[in-house]
Amino acid sequence: MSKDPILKLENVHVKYDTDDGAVHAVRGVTYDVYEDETLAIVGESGCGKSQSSYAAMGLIQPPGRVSEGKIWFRNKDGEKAINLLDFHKDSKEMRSIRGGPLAMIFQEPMTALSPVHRIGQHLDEVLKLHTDLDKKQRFDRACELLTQVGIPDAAKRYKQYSFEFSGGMRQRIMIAIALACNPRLLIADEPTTGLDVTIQNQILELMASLQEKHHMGVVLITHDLAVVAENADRVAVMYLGRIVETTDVHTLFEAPKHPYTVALLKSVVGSPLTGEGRLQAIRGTVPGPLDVVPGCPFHPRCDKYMPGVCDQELPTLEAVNEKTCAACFLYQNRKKEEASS
Amino acid sequence: MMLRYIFQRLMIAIPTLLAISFVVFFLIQLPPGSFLDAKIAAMELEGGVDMAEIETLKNTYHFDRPMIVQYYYWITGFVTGDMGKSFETDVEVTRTLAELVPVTAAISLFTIFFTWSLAIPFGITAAVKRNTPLDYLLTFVGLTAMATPAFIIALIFQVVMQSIWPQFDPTGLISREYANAPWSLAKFADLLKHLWVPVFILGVGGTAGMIRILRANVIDELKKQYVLCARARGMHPVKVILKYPVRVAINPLVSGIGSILPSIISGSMIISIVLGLPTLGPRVLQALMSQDTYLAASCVFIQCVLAVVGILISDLLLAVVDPRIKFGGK
Amino acid sequence: MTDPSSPAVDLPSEEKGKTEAGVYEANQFKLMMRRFRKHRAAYWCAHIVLLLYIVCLSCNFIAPYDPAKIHEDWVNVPPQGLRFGKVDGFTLPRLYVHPYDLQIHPVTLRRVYQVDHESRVPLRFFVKGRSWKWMGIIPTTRHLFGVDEEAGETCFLLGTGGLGQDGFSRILYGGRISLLLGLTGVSITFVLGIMLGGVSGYYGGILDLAIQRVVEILQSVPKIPIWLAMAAAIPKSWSSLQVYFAMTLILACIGWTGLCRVVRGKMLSLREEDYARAASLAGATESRIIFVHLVPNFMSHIVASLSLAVPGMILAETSLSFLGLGLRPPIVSWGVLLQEATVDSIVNQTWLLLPALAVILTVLSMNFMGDGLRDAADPYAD
Repeated sequence: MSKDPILKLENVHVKYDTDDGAVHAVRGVTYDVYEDETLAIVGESGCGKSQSSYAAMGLIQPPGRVSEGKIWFRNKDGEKAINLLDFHKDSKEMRSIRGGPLAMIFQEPMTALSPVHRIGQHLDEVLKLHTDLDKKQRFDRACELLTQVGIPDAAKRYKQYSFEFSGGMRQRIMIAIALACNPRLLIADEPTTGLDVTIQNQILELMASLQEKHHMGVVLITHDLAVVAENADRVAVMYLGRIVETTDVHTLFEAPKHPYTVALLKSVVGSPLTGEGRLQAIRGTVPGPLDVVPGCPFHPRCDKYMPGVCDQELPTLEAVNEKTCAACFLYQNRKKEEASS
Repeated sequence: MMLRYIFQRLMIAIPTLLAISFVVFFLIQLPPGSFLDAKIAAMELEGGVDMAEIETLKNTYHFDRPMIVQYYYWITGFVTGDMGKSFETDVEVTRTLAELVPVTAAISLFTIFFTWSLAIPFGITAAVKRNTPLDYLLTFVGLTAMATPAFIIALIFQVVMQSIWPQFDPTGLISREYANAPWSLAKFADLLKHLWVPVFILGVGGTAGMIRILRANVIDELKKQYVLCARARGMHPVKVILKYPVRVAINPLVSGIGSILPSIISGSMIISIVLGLPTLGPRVLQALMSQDTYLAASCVFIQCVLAVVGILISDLLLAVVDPRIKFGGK
Repeated sequence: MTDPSSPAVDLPSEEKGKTEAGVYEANQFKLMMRRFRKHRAAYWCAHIVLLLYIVCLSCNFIAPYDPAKIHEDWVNVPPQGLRFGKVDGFTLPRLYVHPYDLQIHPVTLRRVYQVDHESRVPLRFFVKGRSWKWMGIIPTTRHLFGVDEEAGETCFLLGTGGLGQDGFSRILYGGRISLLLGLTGVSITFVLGIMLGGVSGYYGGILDLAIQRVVEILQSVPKIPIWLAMAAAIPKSWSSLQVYFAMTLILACIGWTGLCRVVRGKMLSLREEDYARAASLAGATESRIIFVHLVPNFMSHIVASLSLAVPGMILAETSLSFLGLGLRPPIVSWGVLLQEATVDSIVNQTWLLLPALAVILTVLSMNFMGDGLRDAADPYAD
């Protein structure tokens, strides 16, 4: 692992202006990713895990906007990091980074390819945008990429349409497109959702092997804890647009700190916390996007809710031990004492 | 594969067309009385009934036979290319058609071109800028144009033209001095000078409708994941829109050519009547009114044939532009 | 790695549960209306449509003149603008019009109507006039407003036509015919479409095949020539009432095919749904399954598509009548009124185009309303 992170998000906020008011989708997210490392971002639907990475890609669409924060991206080792938010999201600079050194694959590979263009045209397009290769070279490179992601008979497949491929095959093509220009960082937004389990395995293994080969950093966005356990190095758990806990993957499963993380693990089959008996659902429901929850956003659902503390102030993400940071007053002694006194 | 598909479709189309032809003939014969009765009445008014002429008419057009027999004579003639003569003018129906169909088709083709060249940019703009004042304006103008009967547009247009450009005659297609002149460059230029009037009037409503369709289609496509993916590849957003969603959204339009054709031919009927254009429309109306069976039935039926063929062309084009659709299969 | 039995962390997201607690109990129609109300333009247009129907249906009461009444002295009178102010003989300010002075042009011998700005004719409310029957039963002679006709006063708010008939009254009476024609036409469409589509989709088989062939034939026929042919086939000797019903049938018999297809498609997919199976296993009768379980599923959809069909029928009626193929005088419809509008007449009498304005306003608001309803009927729309 090199010392400098490739991508570093600092206090990023994403807001959507709607008729009913601004929806605060991401409320101050900070994380960093290093070379050769996989950072998994975990959380329920709507917690802002995808939105934070869309912000990094400059893909937040109006009425949404990145309202605050900095996104540092380092194209080459040792080079100075640039703040991507200094550029307009569709500026030339941003477009040269997006799809080139900073690539992304999406969930639902079924709809990620245009139904009326040959898959080769998708590959050709990205090569044309980010390299100076001529037509013949681009075709060769495209075939090479297809072979690399495990699609046999590449020259023939190049001419086929997306509907002639299965879901797993399409996700392989998406990976080939993302890897076409040797990205430094790959953001994978639920890359295996909607695929069946054996295919999931193959795709994740493919990603791991390609990561090793190209020394990429990977941000793996998922809601599947099993995927996290198998693939991640470090984990960030998100709840309602905030990161509530960051830790390495072993500690996550062995000694989770934040009550939300604990509750999450208790609701999953096969995690050490589940034990015998019934799985436990997290009680209550996620507050609506426009609801304002005072204090810690998780306190209405929390088992260890401390009245007078948790509903008053927002906990910040602080180090609990050398491995884990958590945003919870349980681990912030000053507050805990206040509560007991 | 494609040829077989076309053949299959044609085989299905034949019984459909036969049924249509019968319905058309039946409808035209439906009003009580016939052309012959009217003719006799007219002759009586003039003073004398020429029984010999009546007899000839009766024998030529089988007026004394039941309707089904008349239908049989007409349809067998029609398929062999002999559509009979107009009762009224005694001119071969085929000649009338040969005269009127090219003009009608020219108006239609120009209208399609006009409609597309306006509707595509506006439709895309409205979709991309949806829920902005520009979109609202386009929507409002479009809906208003759609809500206005075509003949009202034609009337208002004529009145406006009369006040701003009195020497221009928006009616007709050919100026008086060229009316009987042989075809020449000057006559053709004169035709073009008049053609834009019906094209514009017809195009207004069609454009408005197409903008609405295209807008809805593009909005549907913009929501699709592949648009986001293309942007994530670093493509310029404007290029993304033109390359992907527009390409998909335009499919129904491309394939729509087939179905637009007959609809514009019939759509131009009302305009033609108002503007007095030498197209099929006014002739059909006149023939229908005077029960000029052969002329009316042939004209209406030709339009039905065009419609059926148009739908076939649409389906074929759709299969060509959209790789997801395969011939023969579902 | 990924264990097939490991569930996703996703919880059923019930984000909206709190804010819109009623959503879960509301039935589909209520939900649709709730979404519709958010569609501001469509919502207001719905009010306009309602107002148009109310005004035109009560034309007997609101219109000051009999639409057929000929005023020989008042031919092609320009609209008398409605004003508000003091009128001699009344203490309170009120609505009035300026009367016209009829003069014959010395050279052209044409009638010239000069506005007499000096005198004011007050509008009187709830005046007695021609007799009509309230709700078709109770005879009365009261009208919303009018002028003292005995004193030779006139109020042609929207001018008169070539026979000296009051434009305002005629537009209202014409509106009653045109609007009702759209409505009855759509009702026939609705009945035919639902019945045939439902039968076709639910039972399938040979019946389905036959119905679908008819639909296909009707759909592949270009509308306007067929309309022309059918309209031309209406015998000249028929009474206006007969012509009116014939026109309704003509307009309806082409429109039902689209609805029939939609209903059939929905039936085909819905009858395979689990809840339809469950209902039939629970012993529900076929008609109960169709009308209680299946039809409500796409009812809102049908309401929306029908509301979009009404303006099409009104436009068709207008065009056909304009060509002289549809309704004929003495029936008054917007299309019949527009027969008077020719290039020459509207250059001098622009107000003859006013019925067109009524058509445009009606069709525009109906289209807006229909668009809104269609969006609201789509359960997947936000």
